[in-house]
Amino acid sequence: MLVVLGVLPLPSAAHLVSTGLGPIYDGIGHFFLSLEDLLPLLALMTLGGLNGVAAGRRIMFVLPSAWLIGGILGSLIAVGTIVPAYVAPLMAIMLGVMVATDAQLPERVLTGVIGIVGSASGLTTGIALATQTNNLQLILGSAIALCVLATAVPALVIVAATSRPWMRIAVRVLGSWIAGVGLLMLGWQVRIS
Amino acid sequence: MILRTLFILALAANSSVAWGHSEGGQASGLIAGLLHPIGGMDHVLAMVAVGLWGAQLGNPALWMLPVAFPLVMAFGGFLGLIGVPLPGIEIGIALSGVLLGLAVATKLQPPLWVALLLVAVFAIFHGHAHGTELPEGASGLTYSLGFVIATGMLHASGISIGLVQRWQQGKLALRWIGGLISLGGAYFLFGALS
Repeated sequence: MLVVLGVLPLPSAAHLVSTGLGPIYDGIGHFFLSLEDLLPLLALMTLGGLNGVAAGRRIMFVLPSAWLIGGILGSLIAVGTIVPAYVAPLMAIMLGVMVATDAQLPERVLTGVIGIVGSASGLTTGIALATQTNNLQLILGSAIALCVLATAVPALVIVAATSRPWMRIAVRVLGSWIAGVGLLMLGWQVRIS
Repeated sequence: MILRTLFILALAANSSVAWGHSEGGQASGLIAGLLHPIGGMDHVLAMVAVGLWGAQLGNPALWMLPVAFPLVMAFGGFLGLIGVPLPGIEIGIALSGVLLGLAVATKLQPPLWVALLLVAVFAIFHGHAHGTELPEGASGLTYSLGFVIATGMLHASGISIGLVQRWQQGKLALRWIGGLISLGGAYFLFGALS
């Protein structure tokens, strides 16, 4: 597997759709149109929700902050840097499996995972957007969208997972779907490389 | 009314061309992925049978089978996408219909790990078929998303149908459905072997 991944030269690509409303709104639209970037973060937010209210609150603050720091760093150091395309799929697989197995992580470990995944995701997006003009505004817009998602998704998961047992199972099934799609994204990257 | 007209005119005057994604085939990939599992009756029979069997086995198999299947199926899809050959795919898929249908028809109650292993082995065949049949020009990501969702929905359909076992006659009906699935699988197996 490592050999296969090692020969993947594809750079990660961030997609942008011009909303016509300026770079902040283009950034806000980024997550809603870039499934490959959204998927691991969605899994992380779901995992936070499954870990309870305290973890959900932690996600709300730590994830957007880590993502923003990573994004700014990425856009500053980016020129000429190539981010391997398998970063997002690997994160989706790892986090999807954690959701599917309903992993209950200790507080510090979860905070570390949020920080690492958030900053890595921000870094890859920041690097990919570095060639755009107004890239910092794009990153700020994306971070705003992430704030909304990081507030809404864990809250929805907490409500769902604590209301009825089958809802918690449905959330876990969703985790296995995310991991499955991550695995297929990885296969897709190998195929086109 | 006037305000609404002015608003629409203002929007029309301000229209700009959206860039769209640089990567093509997003929508076609999603639709192709959604349609792929339901386009082949051999896939449909086996997926519904997984749900039915899960419902018959009850907890924890009820949720473990639908959680495990997409993951293992995705692994099969991964092998297909990277070009690892798997012999006898059509036979494996047809056989999955036969055996899973039989499991429902006979109300087979093996240990959980045996049920998981059986389903996992067949999931690899189904996933491999999905992975190798990715249409040209389609987005790999949305195609993957589509067929994972469609597969999950088929499992959910099977589980929902399986709820009829709450009633005595429903239990019997479920076993008949299993028998019919098995017969359908046998038809596809005959086709794959001939």
